[in-house]
Amino acid sequence: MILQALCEYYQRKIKDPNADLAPRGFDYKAIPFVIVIDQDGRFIQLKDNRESVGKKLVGKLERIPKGKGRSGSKSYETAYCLWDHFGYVLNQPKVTKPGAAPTEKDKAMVEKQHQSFIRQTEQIAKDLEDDAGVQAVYRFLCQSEQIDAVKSDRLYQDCLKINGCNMAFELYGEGRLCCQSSKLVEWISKQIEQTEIEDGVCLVTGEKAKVARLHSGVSGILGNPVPLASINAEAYKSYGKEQGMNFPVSEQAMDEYAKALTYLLKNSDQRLQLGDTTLVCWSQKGHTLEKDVKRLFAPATEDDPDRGTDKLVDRYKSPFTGAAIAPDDQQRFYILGLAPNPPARIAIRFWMTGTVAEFSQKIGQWFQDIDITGRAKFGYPGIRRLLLSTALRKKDKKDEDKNISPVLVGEVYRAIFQGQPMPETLLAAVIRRLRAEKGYVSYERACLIKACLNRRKVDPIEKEVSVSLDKTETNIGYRLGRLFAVLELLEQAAHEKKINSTIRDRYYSSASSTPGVVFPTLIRRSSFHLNKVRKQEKPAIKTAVSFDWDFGAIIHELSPEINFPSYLNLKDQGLFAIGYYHQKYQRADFTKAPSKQGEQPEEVEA
Amino acid sequence: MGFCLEVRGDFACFTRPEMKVERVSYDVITPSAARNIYQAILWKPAIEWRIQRIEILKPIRWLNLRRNELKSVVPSGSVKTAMKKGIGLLGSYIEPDRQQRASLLLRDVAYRLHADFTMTDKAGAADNPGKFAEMFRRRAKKGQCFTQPYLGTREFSCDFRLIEDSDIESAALAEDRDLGWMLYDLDFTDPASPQPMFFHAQMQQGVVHVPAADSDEVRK
Repeated sequence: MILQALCEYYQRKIKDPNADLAPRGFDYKAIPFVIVIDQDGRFIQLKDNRESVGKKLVGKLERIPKGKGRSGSKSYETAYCLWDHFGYVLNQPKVTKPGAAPTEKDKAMVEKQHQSFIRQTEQIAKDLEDDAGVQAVYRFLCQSEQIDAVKSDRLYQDCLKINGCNMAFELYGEGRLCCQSSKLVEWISKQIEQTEIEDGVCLVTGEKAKVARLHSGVSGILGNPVPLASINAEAYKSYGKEQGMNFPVSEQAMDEYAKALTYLLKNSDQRLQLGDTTLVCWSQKGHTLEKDVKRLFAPATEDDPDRGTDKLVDRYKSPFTGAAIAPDDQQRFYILGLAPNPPARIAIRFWMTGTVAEFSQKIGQWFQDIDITGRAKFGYPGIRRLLLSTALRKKDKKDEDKNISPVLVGEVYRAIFQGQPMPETLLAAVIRRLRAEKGYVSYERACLIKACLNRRKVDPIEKEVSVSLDKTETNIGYRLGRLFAVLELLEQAAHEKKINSTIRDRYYSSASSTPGVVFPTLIRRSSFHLNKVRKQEKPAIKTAVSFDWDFGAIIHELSPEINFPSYLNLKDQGLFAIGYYHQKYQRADFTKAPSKQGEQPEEVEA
Repeated sequence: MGFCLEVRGDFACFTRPEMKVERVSYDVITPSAARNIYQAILWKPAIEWRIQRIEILKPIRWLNLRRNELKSVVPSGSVKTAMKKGIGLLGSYIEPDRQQRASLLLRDVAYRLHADFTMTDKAGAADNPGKFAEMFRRRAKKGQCFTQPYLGTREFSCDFRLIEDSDIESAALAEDRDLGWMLYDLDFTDPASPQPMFFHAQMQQGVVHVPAADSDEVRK
């Protein structure tokens, strides 16, 4: 289904004039320099075909006839159709470094390359006698003084700076490349048809067709273009079949899916990168959700919460709350997760299909699940920000993504888009980081824990974790978390100076996992703190009273004779963190923003 | 006639041919994998199993797994030499040939398979359908099998149960899904180069109807 959906996307996009998707037999390549010639093949000028992208000059992408793969000792025999690098076109030796002197070997090679280019052009010129452009190029190649004329152009030195600079021809006054003429395009399509022998059933279309032996590479995942499907070891073969015969895909379908996927990966609006996992998504007929996925899960301004995201989230929450679903929302939507398996392959990490409406609902559900007090200040967090809170942070912030478990990324995406419970390892990872960082419950961690807990409940009547402080929640973990927050605040109030090591620093880990051991001590100590607060200035008495009141509310309401449990399980530890977070930040003023502290992470080994 | 088996397992991988190196499973069991489950219980040259219907009983769930696997095979040439000489080394060593391969597997699967068999021209005078039908029933009921049936790849073995009264069984998964072109089976008419056959699989209310191998719906 993956290939089918990609081919479908190709069919849709090829009609879009803005998309640089080429038909079969063609490709888009950067052509930095164009040789302009006249009808008789006389050189007129060298045209700089580059555009500035940022600080760099990059050759404009031009639609050119696709070249065959070149490899092996006889690779020089393959020349491209009316375009190629300067070695083939102009007999200019390709050297290891721009400016270096060509070796004897280079010179011999370039001679051969140039000859094949001439031969190839001659062949085309014979077939297309009435194409002025092709004839002009052939005439140009026959006159060596014209080639020298190119080399003496003042722009030629710039051209040499690009190693193996690709060049094409343009007939003066035509405004398009010679290799783009309609006659040539037609000729190429015919050439393809003629060489096709139907030798298998295509598993994408179900039709008899010519099976692609080697699949085109897909760029944008690993450094080099890598095919999605290839056989590179004996054990991967079936019934002794070679390469593409193991998985019959027609040349046409192969070309389409490879181009579509390359296009999707290049199109940054529909691509999300996190760690080594790349997510791309697309819809059947085109839908705003294609781009919204990126805007929702990887907002551009991650640290400075963009209120635009909030609005967008609200839109996705609305179908969840029962607003009308547009008929357009019934079209299919696809989410594909890719990961490199270096050096030679791309692996599929996840693949999800559904209707736009289904995915929208799941997305709405997700944002509902991570919604917790503090959102007004920090905004809805993107997926990267959330998952970084489960990983060891680095001081220089470089390559932090690598610390996120790659397995977790795939599992979390899957859980989000399919509305399934979050992976058990996620909750464990957050709790582990919490303990390692001395109970630093950041906004992101609270979001994640809430999502984990709310999604893992089996019983629908079971209570959900609320967005903000829930005084009626009687879970022991939650109550103890709240109590712990009060104890910490009390300690702070008792000390006028900054405390170097607070009870959170020292006791969070044991308080959240083995409360029975720690809480009696903490309570005993709190009475000293309370006394100290009472002795302070007048307003402090008010604080002290309120603390007393908090104690009563949290513990005694629960049971008159409280027994601190000797052990809290993972779920209750999660609730402990949430209770702590809710109690501590209940006033929602966030004067001491939890996230600010997160920016100077305490580097502790887990 | 017709035989119904319920099979279930923790994991399954019905590898898509186009993603056979970094394995990605089909959404549901393929007819050829289903056929092989029947064959694991009873198979003789005299009979040929044909899958008619596949019922999907559990929601389609996925799992990622990376495993170390062997990339080489024992070359047939060295096997021949060893046979000639009567001695030779035919071992494979994982250390130099280890490859890490990712797979996207199915988890928690359960299917109800409906199949029937026909007699082939290899059937002798003493063979008749009734005999094989009884043999199959007896074996399936007792849980007997020649090889452990598995779900797509041999490491994911499955449990099976013969269903005699399908009226009392639970309903299939209430879901419609276009599964695209799916591997039907391999055509072994030319044993030197078996050709794959494909059919357009569609799940309707949890049921995939499997066409006959010689119908137009199966492309080969």
